[in-house]
This record gives sequence, structure tokens and C-alpha cells, in this order.
Amino acid sequence: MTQPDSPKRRSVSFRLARLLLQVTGAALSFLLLLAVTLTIFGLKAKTALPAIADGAFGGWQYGHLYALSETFVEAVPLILTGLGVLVAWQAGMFSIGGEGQLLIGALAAMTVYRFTGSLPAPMVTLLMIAASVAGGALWGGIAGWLRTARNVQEVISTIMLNYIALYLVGAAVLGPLQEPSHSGPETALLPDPVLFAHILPATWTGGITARLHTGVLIALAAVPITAVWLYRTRSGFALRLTGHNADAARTAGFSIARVRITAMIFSGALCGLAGSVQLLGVSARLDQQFSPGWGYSAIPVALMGGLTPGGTLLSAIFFGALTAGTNSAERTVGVPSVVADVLLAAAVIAVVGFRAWRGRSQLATGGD
Amino acid sequence: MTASFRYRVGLLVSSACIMVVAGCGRSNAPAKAASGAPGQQAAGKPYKVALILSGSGTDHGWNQDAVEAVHDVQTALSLPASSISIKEQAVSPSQQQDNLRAYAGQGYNLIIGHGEEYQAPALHMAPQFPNSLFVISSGDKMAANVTPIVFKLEDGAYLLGMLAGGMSRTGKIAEVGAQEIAPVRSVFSAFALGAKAVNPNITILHPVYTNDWEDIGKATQATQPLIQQGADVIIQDLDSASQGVFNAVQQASTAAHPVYALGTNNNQNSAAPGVVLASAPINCSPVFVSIAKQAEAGTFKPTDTPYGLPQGVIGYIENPALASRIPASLQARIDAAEQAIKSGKLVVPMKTQ
Repeated sequence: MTQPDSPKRRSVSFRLARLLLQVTGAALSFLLLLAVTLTIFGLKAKTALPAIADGAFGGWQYGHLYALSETFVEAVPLILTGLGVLVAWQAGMFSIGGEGQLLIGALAAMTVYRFTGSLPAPMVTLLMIAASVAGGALWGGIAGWLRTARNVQEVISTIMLNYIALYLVGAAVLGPLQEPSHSGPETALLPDPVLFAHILPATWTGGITARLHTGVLIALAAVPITAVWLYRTRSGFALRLTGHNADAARTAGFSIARVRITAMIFSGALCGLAGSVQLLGVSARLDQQFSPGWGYSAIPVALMGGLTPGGTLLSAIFFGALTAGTNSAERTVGVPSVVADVLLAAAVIAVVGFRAWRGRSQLATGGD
Repeated sequence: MTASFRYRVGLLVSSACIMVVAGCGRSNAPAKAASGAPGQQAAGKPYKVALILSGSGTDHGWNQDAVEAVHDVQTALSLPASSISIKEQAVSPSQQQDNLRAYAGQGYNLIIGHGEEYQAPALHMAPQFPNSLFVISSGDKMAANVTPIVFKLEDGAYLLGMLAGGMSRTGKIAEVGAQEIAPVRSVFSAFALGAKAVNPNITILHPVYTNDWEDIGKATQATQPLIQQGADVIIQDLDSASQGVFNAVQQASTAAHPVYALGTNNNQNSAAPGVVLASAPINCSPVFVSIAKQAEAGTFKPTDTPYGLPQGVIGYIENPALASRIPASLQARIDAAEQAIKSGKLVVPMKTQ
């Protein structure tokens, strides 16, 4: 992960100061953007901003731990799907399929539950997680195979596979997986022993159980594992090389087809895992609206994170905080929660635009 | 470190992590003792009412009606605006559960989950929040502090069926629904019953489902073949997508061969004034206000008694622009049936399965 020495290497203190300046600038412009967006929605930034901060970090109506728990609960699916996206994109596979892979993961887990529900609870949970990983990997692998064997662009095939997954879930929750009374288009709630445990004792969060669940450990563990694979193994190197320059990778003796399929399988597995983590951690039931677009938000999250595992972790937590904050501010002061979506999109445009501008200025000055 | 060593460590770490996570199941927090009746006003604390919607509060339908009804509750109980909170677009199960829990945790007295999808989560978490009353629109199960509101749309659908049976010239009528779920099937069976009461020989085409509450185009495409098969009065249960049925009917209807549509859930007569004969709207306001008043006073008991035409929660409204086309004899029969339902002489069956 070390940078190659550039011709004009600046001193550490200069680089540190520059980084600080950039972060402060980004934070300030984000706050400005947030305030402007709120004003457009006809809200007073003076009341809305503290309400959003309260929902994300606590300190006013909520305790800090409760609010931070919400932030991480919202961040967990974004971390896993964000990692999935960056693995595929680093391999040069512009997969939009996180959403479908996530849904297939949840569907596979729910199907396994249907058949193994009578086994001991930890075993059922384990099988459900395994099924979701396998389901997501299969869904990603299909897109990878279509690209390598049939030259179907993954941008198209993954979007189509998203729809297939969505309608498969729709058919399942009106058919074999529907709740016993057959009145709603949804599965029954999973029983408590199967679900992920809540981490924080209720007494720490004012007597109300915070939603933070053990799935956050899976998400946090996935970050270093992905990082080590990408940057410290031969196949990770092959993956990144293929993404940068497929011809060079081929010349170096790597099988491009194999690398691409592997990347899509790994990416799908992570997104599928996100499906079972959400199912077992927060939703406890499956229906067609299971995902509010986690698999799609993953793309801006990964882009904001610079397509690196560490960056994706930070940007997922950032958007988790924003989502938790606006969700809560809608309840307390009536901020529409779509503000989070508007800001997510605006932030991505800002980041991508900044990169492009910096890339051009670097070309012009010939260095970092 | 060799690469294969790293793979093994990665595999070990991830499987250990997943094993630990899978090994700890969730335990439901124990129930607390209630202070007073569920939903009752606590001494010295403001009375707070929350409404959670799975869609937009301005949908001219199911959700908007609930928003208006909650504002009626605010007026009826003379509450300040800060006592009312509305969460819109709680689309996914995780958002629905998060909001139920958050409102209950903030001590809201009355929490209305506007749809059957809130029932299972509310029943599950209700024991932890014994001081809150959870109200589930279209629910069917009760608990100490969970009450369903059973909307008997069947009352209105029966009258719409009588109207359809009497107005059809081809002897064929049709049904378009979004999803083949119990409430929709039940409405359609009441509709068929009403139609057969007027014309025993009427043909009711097999119901068509679009699997979409929002997509107007799909609703249009589903309706067109039904009209081609000869259906000339069409009922729909589609919420936001119902305009698609109206569009298809408007295109097909001519002076020589009129085709009609019927409105449900809301007064949709003005959505297509030339073709919508009548609507059976749901009006949440009387039931929300009644539950809130009783709950505030501490006298409310959960009940699964259906709210229908007799309670003024379900209506039957003919389109004034088309009323002149309804024959007097048919009108008299419909009016008589409406009175019979209101007085309890005629009970329209609810098909629950």
C-alpha cells in the first residue's frame, strides 16, 4: 500500500497539514450543502442540523450510545455491499448487481430456514449465513460468467439479475415462504433465538434495547480480510492488475476470465452475506421491500471511499450516520428522510468532480 | 508469511467470527409492568401520537387519509403540533420495526402502524412497552396493548357489486388487483356476491393481479384484455396504480358502448369523472379519533370488531356526474341494501382465507 516515490516528494508535515485542510474543507462544504438542502426543503437549518446530529451521535433526546448504535446499524449493510462493489470494480467489472445479490442472499437464507427451522438455533443461523453467501456468490458468478464466456456487459446483466432477484423474492413471499395466515405478501418473523444478539445491554441505553447486533462484527471483520486479499496476496494483485490494465495482466500470465469470475463471485458473496446479516440483524422477515436500496447505495459508498476497504468503511459509517440522523430528525422535527439520499448523491458528484479536477491539475503540473 | 498462510488465517478469522455471531441468539427483553392502561395519558406528561406510513403521505389514497385522520385526532384531543409525529416512507421491514421501537422508546402513547405489515413486529415488541398502545390498521390480532383496526371494505364492495351487476350490458364484469392477498380477495368476493344479488347470471371474469401498487402502465395493460373479453364494469384494488385502470376504461368507453370503472379505498369519482360510477372510500378519521379518545382516558380495550358502513368508516359514494345513468329501480335496490347493512339486517361475509 506504499506509494511509489514521486519526483517531488513533500515533507510529512506539509502533507499532514494539506490533509487536515482538505478534511476541514470537505466537512465545511458538506455542512453548507446540508444546510442549503434543508433550506430548499423549507426547514430551518438551525433546528434541523442539531436534530440530525442528535439522531446520529446522540446527546439531546437520545443517549450517545443509542444514537451511535443506530449509526452502526445503518452502516453495516453499506460496509458489506460497499466492499462487494469495490472488489468487482477494482477488477474492472462495473457491477450494479449488489442489490440483486443481497436479495438472493436473503432469499437463500430464508429458504434454508424454511427447511431447517427445527434444528438448534446456532446451527440454523450458521446454515442461513452460509446459504446467503452461496446464493450471492452464484448471482455474482452468473454475471461474471456471462461477461467472460458470452461477452455480455456486466452493467446490463447485473441490472437484469437485480430484477430477477426482486421478482423471485416477490413470488416466494406470496408462495412457498408466505406467512402462515396468507394475508400479507411477506414471511413470518424469524424467532428470536435464530437472530443475531443485541450487543449493548438495555441498561446502558436508557432501558430501551439498542438495535446494534453482532452482525457488526462480521462487517468489521470483512474489511481487513478484503484488504489483505486485495493488497497482500497474489490473486488480489492479479485482480487489481486486471482492473488497471487487462492486457498487462494477460501478458503477466494471469487468466483474465478467471480473475473476473473470481471477483464477481467474491463481490456477490459479500453482498449476499449482507442480505443474511440484515435479515438476522434487523429485519427478521423478508418481503419485496426488504432492501431500501442498500445494494445501490453501495456504489456511491465505495466511490466515496476511493474504492479502498478502509475508505469504504469510513464512508459507510458516514452515510450510516447521515441515514440514522435524518431518520430520527424526521420523527423529531419533520425533516424528510430523503434528504439523506439527496446528500448521498450530491456527495458522490462532489467527490468524483474533485478527483477529476485534481487528476487534470496533476497532469498539468506533472506530479502529486 | 506465505500467501497460503494468509488465506488460512483469513478463513480462520472469518469462520471464527461467524461462529461466535451465530452462537449468540437474541433474547427478547423481559416485559415491564404497565403503569395505567395502554395508551393512557401519563400524569404531567404531554400526550403523544405517532403515525407510521409505508408510503407517501400525499398519495391521494390509503396513506393520505391516515395523515388527515391523525390531524383530526390532534384537533379532537386539542393537542399541540409537537405532540403529533408522522413517519412516511417506512418502506422496508427494518425501517418499520425501527420506527415502531423508536416511537415506543420515546414514550409515545398511541402508535399507529398504518398497514398489516406492522402487526407481527408490534405484537413482538409490545410487551416491552406496556404503556404504549399499538394500533394496526388492517390488522386482525389483539394483545394487551395491541389493537387491530379491521376495515370492512366488503360492505362498500358489495354495493359496488350490485351497481356493477345492474349496470353491465354485456353481462360480464371484471376485477383488477395489485396483489393476491387475503384483504383483496375478500373485497372481490364481496363484490361478486353483490353483483349476483342483482343479476344471478352475471359472469365475473377471473381476477387479474398486476403485482404492483404503483405502476399505472401495468394496470392499464392488465385492464385492456378484460375489456376486449367483454367486461364493461371493472372494479380495482390498486391504490396509486388505479389511474391505470381508469385510463384503459376511458380509452375504451364510447357513447354507444359505455365501459365503467369503480373506485375503492378512496373517493376516486373525480379521478376519471366520465367513467367512475361510484367509489367505496375508507375514512380512518372516526376510528382513529374514537380509539385516541378512549385510550387517553384509559378506557380503551383492544377489539377486532370490524369497522364498516354502520360506523361510517366505509362509505359508498356515487359519482354525481353519472348518477343519471343509474336506473331508478336499481338505485332503489342499492339504497335498500345500504340501509340494511347500516342497520345490521344484512351482514356481508368477510372471507379471511
